[in-house]
Amino acid sequence: MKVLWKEFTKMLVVSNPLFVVLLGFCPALAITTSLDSALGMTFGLTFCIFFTNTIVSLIRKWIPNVVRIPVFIVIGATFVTIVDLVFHSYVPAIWAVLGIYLPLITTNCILLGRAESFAQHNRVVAAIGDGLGAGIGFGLAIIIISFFRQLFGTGVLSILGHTIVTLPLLNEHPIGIFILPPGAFLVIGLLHALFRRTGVEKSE
Amino acid sequence: MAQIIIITVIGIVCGILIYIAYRKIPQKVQGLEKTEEISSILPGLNCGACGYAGCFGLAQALTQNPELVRNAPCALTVQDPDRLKRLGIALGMEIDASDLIKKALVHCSGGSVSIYDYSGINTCKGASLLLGGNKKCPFSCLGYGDCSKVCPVEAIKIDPGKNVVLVDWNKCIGCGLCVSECPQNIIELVPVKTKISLLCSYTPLRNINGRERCENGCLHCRRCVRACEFGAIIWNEQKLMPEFDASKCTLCLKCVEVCPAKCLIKSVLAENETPVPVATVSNTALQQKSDEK
Repeated sequence: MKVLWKEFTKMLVVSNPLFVVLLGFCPALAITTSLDSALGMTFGLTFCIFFTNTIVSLIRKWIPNVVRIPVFIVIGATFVTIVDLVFHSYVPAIWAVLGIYLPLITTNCILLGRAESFAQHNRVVAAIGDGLGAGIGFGLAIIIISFFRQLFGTGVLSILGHTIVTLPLLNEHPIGIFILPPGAFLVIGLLHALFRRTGVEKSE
Repeated sequence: MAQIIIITVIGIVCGILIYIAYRKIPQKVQGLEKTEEISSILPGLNCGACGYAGCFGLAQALTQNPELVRNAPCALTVQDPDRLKRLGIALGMEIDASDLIKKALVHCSGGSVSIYDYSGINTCKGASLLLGGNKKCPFSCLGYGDCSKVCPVEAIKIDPGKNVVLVDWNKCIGCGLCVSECPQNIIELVPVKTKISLLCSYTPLRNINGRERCENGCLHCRRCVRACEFGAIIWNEQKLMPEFDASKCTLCLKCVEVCPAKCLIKSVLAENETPVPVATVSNTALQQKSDEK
């Protein structure tokens, strides 16, 4: 249990996939325009990484080294397909917004990266902690990004159709660049700078 | 050998997993069956000309509001009677193709004279920036052919003598690109069953000093309204223009005869006949007028 928690917090903060290791930029740029899509992506990615890590770790002794990449891809793609089916059936609105980025989790650098660099060398408990940490760590990062992008880009903050905050002035004159791709780079850059400044990377 | 066996085993196990998930998760979402049915009828080109994000986006909009189809958002569907019929069945409403098929009509017969020599860039947009165009009439076709440049089917030609554009209704697909391109806002998409059209959009409401209608322009005399025995012409008090009700019109052509400026034209021959190219019609109308003089 201690190992699980240690690996979880390590991936969550110390080597956060997005802010520290700078992995998984395509979804972070594309689907952080609203909190809804960021939440959907968080759920999908955490589910896929959790199961891929667990299974790769379970069968790590039987995977021949030369064919490990196809094996990771097949396992990852299986869970991505399941997530795709679930999203399509139960949350079609989010499924439509995520679009191609949901199937693209298969080739997500975090998913393959964790299987390649961690799960295939470590025991199941550590791999579970690592997978959950990577998924939720990335999820928190994109939720923070989408929080700022949606707030400044539209002036309205809403989750699943419920409006939480409406900024009086920004509501009428939103800062459009936050919704556009350059806005994603700006927000990620500023948050990355904040992470470095607060010394998270030094302790790594 | 071991690699082949292991990959095969993992592949089969994963395949079984996907199959189980596929069977357990409901395939059809409540509310989306109809959208999928509609989107299977639409052309599927995802051209985006309707203003929605692809054919599925239009299908979603149509699911929420079937009346939207009356605005004829998809030109390709409207052109195909079979597809339109299937769309009508899917939406559960009667759709009359002749209501939806629209053609571009230039509300100008091009008689206005130039008030200055324009020698800037050779586009209507350029000319309209300078004092609102170089024609005496502020609603005149400038004749530089911005519309014919955007026309995807080359249905619009410029008549060089009168500096007016002519639309060939046999070629026009009713896409509406020329309507948004025209800086003078004188092109309109009219239903293909329109029988009488007014080839002028001059209105005295926007009275600009030195800008007058041409001799071919509508006099706002209302003679056509009085001449019509079937109540098919209604006077629009806001625009000071006659409006034509195609369902009441019998094509007696009394309004065309009585019009002193000869700016009314017959735009179809009769029911069930292919639309006459307006180019020909307006040419003949203008021809007759010059003959009379």
